[in-house]
Amino acid sequence: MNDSVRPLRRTIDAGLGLPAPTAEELLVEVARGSESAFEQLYALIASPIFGLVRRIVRDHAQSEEVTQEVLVELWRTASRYTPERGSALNWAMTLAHRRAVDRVRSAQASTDRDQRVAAMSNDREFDEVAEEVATRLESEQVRRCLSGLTDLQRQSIVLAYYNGNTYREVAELLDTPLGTIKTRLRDGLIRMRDCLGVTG
Amino acid sequence: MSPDVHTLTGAYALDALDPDEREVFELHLAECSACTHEVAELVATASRLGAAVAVTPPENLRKRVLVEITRTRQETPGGLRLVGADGELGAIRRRKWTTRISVAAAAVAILVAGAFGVVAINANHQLQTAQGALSQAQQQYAPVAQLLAAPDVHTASGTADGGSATMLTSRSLDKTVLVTANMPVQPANRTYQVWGINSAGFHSLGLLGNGSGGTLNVTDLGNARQIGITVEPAGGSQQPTSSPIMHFAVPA
Repeated sequence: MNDSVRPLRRTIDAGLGLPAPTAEELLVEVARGSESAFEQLYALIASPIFGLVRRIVRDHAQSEEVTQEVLVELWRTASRYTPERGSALNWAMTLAHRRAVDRVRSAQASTDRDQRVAAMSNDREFDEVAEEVATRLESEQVRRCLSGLTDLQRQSIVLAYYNGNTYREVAELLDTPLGTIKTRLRDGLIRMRDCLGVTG
Repeated sequence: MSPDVHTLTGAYALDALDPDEREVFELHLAECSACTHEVAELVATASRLGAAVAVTPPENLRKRVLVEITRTRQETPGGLRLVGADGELGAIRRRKWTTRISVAAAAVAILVAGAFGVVAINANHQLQTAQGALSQAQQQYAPVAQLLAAPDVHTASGTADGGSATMLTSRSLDKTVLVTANMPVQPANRTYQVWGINSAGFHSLGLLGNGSGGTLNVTDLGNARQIGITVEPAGGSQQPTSSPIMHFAVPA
């Protein structure tokens, strides 16, 4: 899964002819206690983390809190990272998603969450994603791949990943049997994997 | 590798499982290399979805984080790593033997602790009871281990007052086991009773005693749609005399 997320490399000093360190290289430095490496790493990963956390948590102040928790946790646990665990961004995003989901699931009774989600149109949800992602090349590819899914695959994945719902909640929200949702989450994600060219 | 369990790879990669279900799935994952490979790819795919909604955070967040790290001690390499502890990233490849063993050990520990709860009560017959407890632990653990290894194991769980109940069921084995842990201990004259619930009402599936944990072999699930747990007078009741402290859907 090394090439699952493209290596992030800063280009600002490209004029010097020296490649800037990748996020993976920076993380190794961070594990040795380098605060300056962490500052460079922050520039690479803070926006993806904050964007994802904000989508799930919604509340701006809480999103900042969770983002801060995630970044400090990356600092604290950097020594656990090894490249065979995938890209540094992959590692960071997995943690960010888990922490954001923990926050919404513990903060809100499931009924509140159901109401919050039920109040949203799934189509609008997808349009929002599509709109937010439209600006970047990576996003363009994700958007194109998402639009290649069936409606049920796309809605299930968007509710689970971008909204932080459990698959049980997704099944209720989409009024679809649990088994069907499990299957759509898997085959939808597999289709995304193939479309994005993620390899193991 | 049954398609039934295997379909959970997607929900797992998207963090869409309940915590107890996630734990059980991770146990299965430790034994299923094909699942592990697929999960790694699907987790990486999910990260791409996440990175696609990047938004620059406010500058003051950056300042706060950079101050915070100067005050935060880093973990040293090879430090203690507990499964599910803070910082666990859900990456699968490093769940090698050490974590597999710790997960399995935790499962056994819960069951053995349940068995040894009996020892404390019957302190007069220590040796006899300890032997009994050990064989009970083995008896309790065997069906759970067998179910965890079943290709079509389904799980469901509920929580109440800090305690949890997990039900594992396999159609191919025609076997269902319910395991509880960390339940509030009830007075000696009370017992936890497990019910199958459907439109016709409640039918008793068995008693779990008054202790914090136990294992129940469910022999007649019938056409129950929901599982409920109530606190009843010792010996159990024909029908529930209190409302369920916990209920959850029967695994699909």
